[in-house]
Amino acid sequence: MGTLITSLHARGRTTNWGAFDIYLVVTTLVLIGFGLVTIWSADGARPLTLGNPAVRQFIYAVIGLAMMMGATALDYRYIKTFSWVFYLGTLVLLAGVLVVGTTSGGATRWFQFGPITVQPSEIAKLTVIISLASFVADRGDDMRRLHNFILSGILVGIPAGLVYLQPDLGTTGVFAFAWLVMMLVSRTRLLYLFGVMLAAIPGAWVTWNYIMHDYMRERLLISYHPESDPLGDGYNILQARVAIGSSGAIGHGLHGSTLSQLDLLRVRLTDFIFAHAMGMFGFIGALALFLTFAILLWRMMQIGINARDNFSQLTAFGITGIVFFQMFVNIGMNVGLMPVTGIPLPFVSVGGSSLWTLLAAVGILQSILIHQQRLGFQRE
Amino acid sequence: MRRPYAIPRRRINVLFAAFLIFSLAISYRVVSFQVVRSQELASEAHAIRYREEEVPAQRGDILDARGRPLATNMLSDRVVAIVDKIEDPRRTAELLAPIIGRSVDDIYERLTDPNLEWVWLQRHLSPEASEKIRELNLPGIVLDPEPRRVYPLGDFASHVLGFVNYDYVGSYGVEGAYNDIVGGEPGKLIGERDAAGNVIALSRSTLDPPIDGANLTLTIDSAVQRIAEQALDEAIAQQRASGGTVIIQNPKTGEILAMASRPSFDPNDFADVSDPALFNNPAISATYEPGSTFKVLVMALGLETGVVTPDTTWEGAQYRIIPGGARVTNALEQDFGPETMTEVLQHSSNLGIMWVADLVNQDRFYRGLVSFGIGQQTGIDLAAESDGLLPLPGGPSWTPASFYTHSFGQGLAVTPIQLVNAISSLANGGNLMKPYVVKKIERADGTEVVEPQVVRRVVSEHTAQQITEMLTTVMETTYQRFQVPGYDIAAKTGTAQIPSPNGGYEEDATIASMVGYGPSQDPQFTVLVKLDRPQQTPWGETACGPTFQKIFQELFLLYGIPPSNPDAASGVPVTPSTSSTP
Repeated sequence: MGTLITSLHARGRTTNWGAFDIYLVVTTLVLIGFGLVTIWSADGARPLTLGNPAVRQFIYAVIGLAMMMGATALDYRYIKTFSWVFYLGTLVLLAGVLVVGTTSGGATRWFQFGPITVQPSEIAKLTVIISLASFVADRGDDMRRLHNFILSGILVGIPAGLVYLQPDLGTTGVFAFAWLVMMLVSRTRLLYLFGVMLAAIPGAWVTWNYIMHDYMRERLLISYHPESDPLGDGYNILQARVAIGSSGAIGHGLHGSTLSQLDLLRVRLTDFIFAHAMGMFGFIGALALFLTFAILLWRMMQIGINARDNFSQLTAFGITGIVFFQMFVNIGMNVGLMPVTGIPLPFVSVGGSSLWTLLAAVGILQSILIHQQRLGFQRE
Repeated sequence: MRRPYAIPRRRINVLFAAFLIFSLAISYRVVSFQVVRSQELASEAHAIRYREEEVPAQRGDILDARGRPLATNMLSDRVVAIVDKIEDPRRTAELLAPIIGRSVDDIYERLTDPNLEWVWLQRHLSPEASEKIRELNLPGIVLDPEPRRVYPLGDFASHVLGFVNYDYVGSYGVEGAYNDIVGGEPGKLIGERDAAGNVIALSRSTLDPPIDGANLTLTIDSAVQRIAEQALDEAIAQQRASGGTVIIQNPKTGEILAMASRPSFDPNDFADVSDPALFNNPAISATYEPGSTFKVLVMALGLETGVVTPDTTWEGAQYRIIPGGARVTNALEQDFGPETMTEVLQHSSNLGIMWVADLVNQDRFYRGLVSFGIGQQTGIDLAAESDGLLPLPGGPSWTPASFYTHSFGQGLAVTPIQLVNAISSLANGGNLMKPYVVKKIERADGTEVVEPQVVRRVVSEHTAQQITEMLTTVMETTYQRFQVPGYDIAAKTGTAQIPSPNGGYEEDATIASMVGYGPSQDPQFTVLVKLDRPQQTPWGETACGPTFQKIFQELFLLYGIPPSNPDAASGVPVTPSTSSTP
């Protein structure tokens, strides 16, 4: 036993492929597969040519899985070391997209490279988590000091602010949620978090009245009164509601989702993919989807709980946090619980930037599992 | 190596609890949509998926009594712009403007409305305009044929006909009253939709075929209607009247042979009519004080109740103070001395008719008027008929003085059709008929002929006979200059003041009218001529007499009615044997 510990210490780091979490990969693949079928159907079940979004998503998935394996093989501590590079790069991209980005639907969110669009705010979700995890892990117990807590907020606040300027309220919310979750599992004082929660109440009032754009307020409110504009902003919400409610236990099948051939759910490949999926697979499908997400999130949390170092813990909970939050907001807006904010359903919604970021994140989690030090007091 | 930090279990639990609560919230919503509201939402989904298309029914034609078309259908194009496909809105607008008669700016605005996918620019195009647009071949501009209701005779009988609006729904007149029958029932094509929202051919589609609308044959005879309209136009021009109405009814059946009012409108161009009040048919909706024409009904009640005969004489008077203190005299304060009942009508004596009303007594007086249909709709088969106004004892607007003013046609209001119909009951021997304008309904599955309908007997044949003789005498004497030589006609005129909205009556404005029927021996026509605010002469007799005479002259000619007194008919240019066609 002593020999092993010594040898570990001697090598400093090791690669233990046996710790690789197969559940994490399987659930990820299930979700991607679920997404591909849904995208194909929602696009009208057209032939599988390169123009078909399902085919493109499949290609993104293959590349993304390669990236995942790459991230898995890479020792996560390198990532921690270079986290400041990622952070600064992210700020450059987020600032750059405001200047030279492509505007669509009133928001400037994309870089256009020929036929490919890249959404830097998706990449930022992961890089900000890594940077924050690195910052917090380096402070250790010093996180109990208020100034470090505030600094952590500023660290997240800068990219979040840039995203807000696009404007993208939903992704801003993702950053805020990731920060809250990571602060909860850090060594900071809960008192600060309570303070933030209390300050959030007048803060929300100020934001609502003085900071938010009119269009944002309208979009938030329409979610709760879609009937007030059934052919405009309320359209998708009402259609999603119909699709979900009419799907029955097993749905209408691949071609039969209520709205599939009708071109009625205008953004059914992204925001409203859940509604379309329910139309196809019904209640059973929704149950299976929830179950898959539950297993995935459970495994991700376990990585965080069992992680041997602070950076790993924070990274794992941060990733868990954004996957959960995006799932909740996306499904929430499909069922009229959350405002429609353009948050994709993780692994399922169409979109390369989101998928690559999430697969890279899963890769980093796997890397944590197989590269983390096994310390001596652990049973051997 | 620093002892690794373990995340406190408590913090993990907080996070876990938060995740769980959020998850339960969305699960609850899914279940509530799925289970609680699934029926409702499923039917919404069905409505979205299965498109119901209306298959329009062919609207029936409207024909006059002789089978001439008064309303029919043809296809005409409308110009539709598919907003996305317009390449140059400004140029498109400039090219279209002169053809479709809209301003360039107006068209440009429609073409550039960001909220619209398509928009129609003009409807009911002429064939020439369609052809010009077809030749322009502008991208995004489409011609879409749609049925258009056509009234070949323009404003002819427009108040009777009504019109068909842009949604192909009948409004006013026969088009309005018979919309369900002449419009038919649209069929339904229920089919599954493709991505573009079109019904997929043969895909589980079902068709309820449309039921085409019935053809309607009117009682309106266009030859008679022409007589009425021409006579009315001449009278209005000659008297510089603000408007007027002529109704010609067959008293035996209640059929309306002609019904014309001015001002009128052209139903082909209904959209250009600035004041929708013009659509109302004054013959059935305009109420007015009938004045002395009303004395006919009161006298008939006197005969019917047996309190007077045509030869009963009353002593006469200069004036009478009625309850409430008003002093009533005859027109121009004339004192006729003792008068027979026939003379009361000849003189149009207010004091004489009040004397009759007293004998009839208030109870029988009002019962009788109600029986004549005064103050009630006649039930004619046209949309928007008015009630008129007959204040009854005990009612809010009735005073003891009303009884006396009502006897000479003041303080109450009738519609032209109401009065004509009441007078017709005297012409036909005592039966109040239900007036009507549609006499035949031809459906695909059979023809329905509308039968004349007796509402009730109002007076006895004897009374009708007596009043006809009295009115014929009135025509022969008082209105002698308006007689049709050789023919006996029963008639009475009326001159009524126009109640002012501010109370009292308008100054220097009257409604002149003349109503009657003939030939007296076997009445074929009841005619009302009513002129609003004649400027040339305020009196019923002088304003309406010439028109009344002319109408009867032409009617006798048109129908080939032999003179009852051929010797006197020497002035009539056409003999009965050759006058059977106009």
